[in-house]
Amino acid sequence: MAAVLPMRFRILHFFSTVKEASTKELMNGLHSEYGSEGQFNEKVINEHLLSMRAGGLIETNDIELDQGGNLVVNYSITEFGQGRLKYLPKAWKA
Amino acid sequence: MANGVQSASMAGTGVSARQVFEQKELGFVKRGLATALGSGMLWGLDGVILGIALAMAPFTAGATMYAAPLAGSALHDGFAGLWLAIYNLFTGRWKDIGRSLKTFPGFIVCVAALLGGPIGMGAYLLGINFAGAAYAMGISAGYPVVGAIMARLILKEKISPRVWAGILTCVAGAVILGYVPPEGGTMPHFYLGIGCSLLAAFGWGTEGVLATFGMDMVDPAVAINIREATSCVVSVLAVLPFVAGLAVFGQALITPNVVWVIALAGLAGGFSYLLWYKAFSMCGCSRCMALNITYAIWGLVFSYFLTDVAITTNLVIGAIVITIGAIMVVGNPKEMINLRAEA
Repeated sequence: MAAVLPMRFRILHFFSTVKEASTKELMNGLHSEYGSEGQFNEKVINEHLLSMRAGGLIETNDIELDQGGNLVVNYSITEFGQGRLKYLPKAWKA
Repeated sequence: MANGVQSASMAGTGVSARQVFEQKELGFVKRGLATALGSGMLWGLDGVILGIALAMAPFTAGATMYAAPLAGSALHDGFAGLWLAIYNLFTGRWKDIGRSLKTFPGFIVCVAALLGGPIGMGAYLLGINFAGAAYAMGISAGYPVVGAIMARLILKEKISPRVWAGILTCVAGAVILGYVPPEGGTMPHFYLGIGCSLLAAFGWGTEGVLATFGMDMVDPAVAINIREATSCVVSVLAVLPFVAGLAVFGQALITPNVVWVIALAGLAGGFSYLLWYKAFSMCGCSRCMALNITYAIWGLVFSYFLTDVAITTNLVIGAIVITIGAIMVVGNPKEMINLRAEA
């Protein structure tokens, strides 16, 4: 098993493995690696996502409201974000 | 960029989910700008507290002119790193520190630390020594311009003509505010001093750009923790021994009333930097660097209340010019929703 990545880097990597994902789907995907850590909560992860979107690493696709009126944003990785994956440690490269 | 479906709308309001999200993004940018200004305020407070510490023994009796400021700066960064480590421990980010150090982006954050810490600070002090404070301060205050050029080239940040003008205005304000008349007399190494001052501007400007690059992949709170720790460790191991600074460093560390003042400065400085790094990845590093210059105004305000600084005409004019520049930089936050041109 490759060493655990810094969480933001792993988020970017996660988007390279799926077509798109919402915050909830992302958190389900990363729960086994970061679930026990204080930083693994929706508020912190949404900040990462907004920041990464502003920097052009990921982009938004469908944006919907769920039945409870909560915002569901689906993100996917951009070509620019893909470019950053070359800095992944060897063990994480596909 | 897919524009997606606007299928759902807030019941009866006609507001689409995308519009709700866009409002959220705009709020994020505005928070980023406030964060950058908050960083400037804390940096101003930090400078005043550090100034109080550096006026106390053992900093007043260094063996060389570099010993006291470099030892003070190393101690300051060490305490900032310690406070940030506590912050990261309590916010559940501490494991990310080691993880980040094992990656390339983490390494780049360390390079940023060297440029902004020992190299930037060392070059600035050499600049003052060889060319005089007037030139060294004036030139090194141009670091946001260097940063903006690098951000444009390396990060492809979008910088409109108004923002360029704002950055230049902020720098001009900082130069006016920090103005001291050039000293007379001969300076045999004047051009070396100018070169060192340019190196300081380059170091400080490049720090922000490299850190922002690293923070594409590393949490800002973790990045700044690494930055402060690296700066302290490298200063102690590779800089202080050559400027007779270790004795001052050690002496300050065991002088209770001094160490507490520096620890307090480190607290203000650490959190100022935390806000600064967070703002970099919220509203772009070129703008944040210019907004950080507002520290000079806050420094004046805090100095007025905490010390006995005299408010002179050039301080007031400088502060007004910086404020105008900052307003031009902030301008239209909507421009900052997409920070980079080719991303």
